[in-house]
Amino acid sequence: VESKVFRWLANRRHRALRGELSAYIDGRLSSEDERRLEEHLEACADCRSELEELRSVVEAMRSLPTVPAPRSFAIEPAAVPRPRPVGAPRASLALGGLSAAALLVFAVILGADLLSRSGGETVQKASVPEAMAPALQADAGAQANESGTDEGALAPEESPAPEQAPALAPTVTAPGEAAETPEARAAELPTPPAPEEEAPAAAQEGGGGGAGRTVLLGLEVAFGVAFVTALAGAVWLRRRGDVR
Amino acid sequence: LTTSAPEETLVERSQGGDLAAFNALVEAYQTQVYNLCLRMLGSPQAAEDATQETFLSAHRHLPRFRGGSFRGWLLRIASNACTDELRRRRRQPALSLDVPSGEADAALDVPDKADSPEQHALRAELGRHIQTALMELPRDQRLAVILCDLHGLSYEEIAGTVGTSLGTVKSRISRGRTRLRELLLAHRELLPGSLRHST
Repeated sequence: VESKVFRWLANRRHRALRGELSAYIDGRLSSEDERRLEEHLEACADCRSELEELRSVVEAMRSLPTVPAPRSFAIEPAAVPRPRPVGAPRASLALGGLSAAALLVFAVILGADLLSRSGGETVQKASVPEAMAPALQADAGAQANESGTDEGALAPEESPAPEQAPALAPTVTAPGEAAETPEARAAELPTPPAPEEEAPAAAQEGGGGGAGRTVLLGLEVAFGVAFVTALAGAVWLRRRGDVR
Repeated sequence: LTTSAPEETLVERSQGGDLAAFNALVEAYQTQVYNLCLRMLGSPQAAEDATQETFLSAHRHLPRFRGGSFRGWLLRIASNACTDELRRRRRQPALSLDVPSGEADAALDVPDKADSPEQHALRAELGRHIQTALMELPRDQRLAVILCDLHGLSYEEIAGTVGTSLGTVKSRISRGRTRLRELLLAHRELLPGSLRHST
């Protein structure tokens, strides 16, 4: 029994060490493993001959000739695709974000407008300006910059925008620059403080209830247009990027 | 002038859009890439296609190269191109038939000036047997053995190129060589050194 156990152990050891012959050839064994394997090699003829055969395999592999390349693989200038505008994907992403923001503001304003219509003048006066304060002020500021005083002219003023965004696109390289479009300023404004002097001015102009409604209507149209424009711009940029 | 610039400079200039600099790199590595593809695929025509694909893909993905070994990066792209080709063959078994042996032999048969005609014939035959045996190996083992014994990459470089662990590289090489040994023992008279004489 003892000799059987001994043989089983030796066999197991043999198989484990046999698997290290390849690493041994490459000098990848730790000095301790190397010593253990060399000890085994002295005792094991099978491993010795396998080691020699593996060495021959490695030698044969290394003796394979290097085949010269059949031709030059240099790339012809004509085969190089025209560089894809690097900024396009980012600008597309930025415009997508802007359109989402514009849609959100649009929805809020629309909601407030509808609420005020059903809830009467008091609700409108009380809730809308407060809830919408940052966006309203911001937008008023932006529009005051953009189109002067007349709110009625706001919607028509915005309409050239569809051409503006795509026209800007090729030069747009970063979201920061993209943010310089009117839509961007309007949509981004919840964060930066609105220009203080201009906001009250706009609010005063929209003094009465009817005028307030006109402001809301103007804002709805403005943000609606901003949403569509930014979305169209984003889609256009993406598609242009994919062509290449 | 371009070809004598250090590799790093060539890579940088290539990334900046300098095609001449990139082609200097192509010039420097096309033989290695071609030989890797040739040994992986066993067919000169497929190897040529895969080499072309490797350099086009490398050029396309230059912006994604973030330093390190450019050779390792190229060989990685090349091995991916070979993997794609081998997968394609498996999907379309009609194309998996090896090229007529005459064509492959002609490409793999590189005369060594020091050889006598007899030595040359023996070497050519051994080359054929090795290639046949290589094609019998699982893809991963074939790649590991080729990168190690033909390209002389270290285990670490192979791990980086293939994207696997050192232990896996070690075991793939070991199993690949062991299998090659079994396949080549049938032709031991062709093998160099002791394998020829051992019994």
